[in-house]
Amino acid sequence: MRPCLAIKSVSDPWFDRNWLEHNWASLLRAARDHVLWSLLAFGLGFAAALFLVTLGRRWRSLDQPLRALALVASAVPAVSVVSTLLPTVTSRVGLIGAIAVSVTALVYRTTMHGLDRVDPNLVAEALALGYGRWQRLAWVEFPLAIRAIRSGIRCASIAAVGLVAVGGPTLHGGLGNTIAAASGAGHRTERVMAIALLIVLCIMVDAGVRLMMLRAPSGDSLRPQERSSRRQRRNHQTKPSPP
Amino acid sequence: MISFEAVSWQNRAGDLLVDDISADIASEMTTVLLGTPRQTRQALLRLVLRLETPTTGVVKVAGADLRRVDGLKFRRSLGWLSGPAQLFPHQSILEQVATTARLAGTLRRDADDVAQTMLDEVEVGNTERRPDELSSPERVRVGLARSFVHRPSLVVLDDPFAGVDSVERPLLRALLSRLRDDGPTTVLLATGDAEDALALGHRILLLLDGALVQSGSPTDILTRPTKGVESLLGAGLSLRGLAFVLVDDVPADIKAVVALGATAAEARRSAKRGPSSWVLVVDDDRRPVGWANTERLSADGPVTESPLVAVRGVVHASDTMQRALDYAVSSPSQMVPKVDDDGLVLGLFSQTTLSLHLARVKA
Repeated sequence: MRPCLAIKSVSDPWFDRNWLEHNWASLLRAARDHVLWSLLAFGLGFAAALFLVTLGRRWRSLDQPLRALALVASAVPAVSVVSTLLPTVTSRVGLIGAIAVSVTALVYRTTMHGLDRVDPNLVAEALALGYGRWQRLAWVEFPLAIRAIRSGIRCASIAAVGLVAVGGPTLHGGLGNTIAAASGAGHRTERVMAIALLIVLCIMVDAGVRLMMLRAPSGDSLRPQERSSRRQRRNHQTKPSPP
Repeated sequence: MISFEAVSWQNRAGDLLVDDISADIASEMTTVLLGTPRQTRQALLRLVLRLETPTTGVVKVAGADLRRVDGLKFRRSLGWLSGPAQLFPHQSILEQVATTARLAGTLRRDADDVAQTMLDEVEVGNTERRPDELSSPERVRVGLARSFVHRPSLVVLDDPFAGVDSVERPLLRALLSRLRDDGPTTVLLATGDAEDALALGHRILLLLDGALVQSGSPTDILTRPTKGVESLLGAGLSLRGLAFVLVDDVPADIKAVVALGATAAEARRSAKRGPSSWVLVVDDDRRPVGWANTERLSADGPVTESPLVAVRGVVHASDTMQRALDYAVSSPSQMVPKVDDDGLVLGLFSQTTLSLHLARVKA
């Protein structure tokens, strides 16, 4: 655990402007590290989940054991898992791996749940039309399950940010480490600012994921009237102005 | 094109849905699978699509045993539509049709143009719309565009007009016929709707409880139905059979016709050649002027236009006998004039003529 950024003041206010001016760069550095580790953990977990989803769809016999594992991994509160692992997982790699497993479990379960809810008649239609196995998955099933997949990705991305905070002391950095250090030193301003930055980070991640999913070619991200108004706007923009 | 050779198929529950069916599906024609239950029709289509394998027997397409054919490649070469049209809700209608074209081998850069041309042909308008913005008939039109976009030699349709009202159905039938003839394409259509079957099928296979009970042209089926198939075809088989008999095929041998200005005595003599007291009055060119009831003519005076009843309809050689019957029953004379291309009267039909013709066909 790194030392507290500031010496405990006598009054220990909730917000010390002077302290903030001197330590703003350190806070931002901690936030940047936090984002990078969260992205890394989420990216690894998401990639693993996609791989497992394709395996689970290709070999259905694998699906049930994978779901059971994912259920166990996600049934135990993630914070407890990481806290339990903290004494044993002492390296950054180990901890990021543990967070990635948590992300994998969340994304796998929600994605498979979404794929299960795709209308079987449409899948049968794709089969009859000559769509191959992967074409059915990529062109029909994934787009139709996008709502469930999207909610899984949102939950997992926020969970990754939160778990990186919990594992902050092990990672020797990030906003979690700042909060822990400030709590130990009893420095309120640092603690409050780190917590505020963490909340802002969560909101930005959620908004970013939402935005990305809206822009992605998805099945049901837009309702007909929204598409219609979007089309009208586009036509309006491309229409040449009268002479 | 397709042949079923002693084909039987059981589902996983052990139900025998296809029971020893042998039949040939001719090329470039529409063959209709009509009957119950729906599962039997669907099972036969799934066997043709190579989504199932016969429990016993062989299904051949163009002489090749389907068990030895690459199913995916084969399905991409076909056209397929199931009703109510199953369109993918996340794709625009242009994407749906273009994707099928691409799967069938059209280059990615050409697929949109090919799809747009096909969609123009079926007249669906704005192709950026998604299925939830389409009416039922529009969905069928898109489904047909998707089936025919790659100009397949075989199109398989499962109840394509399900959920479409009776006003739109004739238009969609005409569209399907046009697309088939443009190919030319072999169409295998499964339906529970006898009207669709009779209107579209060159040949109908009647299925009952998994077995093939009769096959033949619509006229054969309607005029000589096998015992038990009435339930599949509905009531009024004889009358509906008249829709497949052309006026040209039936002699218009009633000659109860007089010229305008003929005497009442001549009109009464002419009426004796017909089934009632009515005669058709024609002008000097033998064009119909009206019907005259000889019982109401004055004793000696000539036949004039004043007491005549208007002729509501005439039939030409290319009309069906169903239309002739329709005119006959709505005419006061119970007869209908048959005319040539110039509108000159060739003779008259009566309801009796039609009954005698039906009796001869059945015999």
